Amino acid sequence: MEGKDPRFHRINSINFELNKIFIYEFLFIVNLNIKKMKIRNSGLFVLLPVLTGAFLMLTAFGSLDSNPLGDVTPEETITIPDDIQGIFDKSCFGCHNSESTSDKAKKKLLLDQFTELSKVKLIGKLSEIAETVEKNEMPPEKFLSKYPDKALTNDEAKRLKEWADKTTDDLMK
Amino acid sequence: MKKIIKILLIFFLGIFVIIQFIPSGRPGNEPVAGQDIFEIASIPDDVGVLLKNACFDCHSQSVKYPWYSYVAPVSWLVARDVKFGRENLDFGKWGELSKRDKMKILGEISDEVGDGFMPMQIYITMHSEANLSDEERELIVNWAEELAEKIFEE
Repeated sequence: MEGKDPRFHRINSINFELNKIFIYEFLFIVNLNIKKMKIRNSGLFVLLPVLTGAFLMLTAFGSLDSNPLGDVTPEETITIPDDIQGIFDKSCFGCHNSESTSDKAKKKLLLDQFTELSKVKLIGKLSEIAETVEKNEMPPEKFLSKYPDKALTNDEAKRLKEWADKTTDDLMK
Repeated sequence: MKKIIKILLIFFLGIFVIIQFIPSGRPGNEPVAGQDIFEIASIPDDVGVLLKNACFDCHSQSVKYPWYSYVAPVSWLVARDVKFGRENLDFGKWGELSKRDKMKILGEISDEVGDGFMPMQIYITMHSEANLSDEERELIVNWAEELAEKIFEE
């Protein structure tokens, strides 16, 4: 689930840097313990750095519990052109649909109900899509390592962003 | 055996002392007059209190740092969260955002708070006043959606 959200990638990589020092510390202690002491007496000292590491990891996954609220008012607002729909189908729909197994992806964007969103919500979501595509945050790297053919080509990313920007501008008029 | 425990304790203490000298990079507050959301947007008092209690310690220029945020390694985590938080949303620089960006952010606020992703669990653990009830979450969600409508109509 965390692999679906670019924020977690980022937090995890920063976290990894922070964790390095604790990993070194951990290895040092383990080494010391094996060399100088009987393992059964050294539980606490192995545990301490492990707990420190676990604490740091937890901060990255700390916000994963859910608390659903809110509802959507149906209202057909825009139509998606075929070539954009094709991009959605290829690279996005697999996670961003109401039957998806990824809770996070579902909560962020439901492409099967996208055109029913209100103008205001659409402007928000389209701006998020444009930003996400521009920053190359979606589809997530972890997902692409399994399904490299689902990646957006440069041309597709460009067309998707231009469409999102133009549709937003039209809606803002 | 006792000697080794002593050595280890001194080792940990040493590490703890040494890491205090690593700069945390904790960002300071640099409020800009006229840019704060409280000076620009309409915020009912009840929502205002919730925003200040649950959001402003990362998403503003009026961050209150608790004592433990001055002690490494916690200081690094706090610095990281505030930097990352402000990158995504800085209520203290609300006035700098375009109409479209404001609407985008308000949509994200409604999603993140409504779905329970924000505030982060680690923050709630340390700040019980940020532990929003469902009703309080709904207040924020409704406020964000109404404000987005208002900005759209402008």
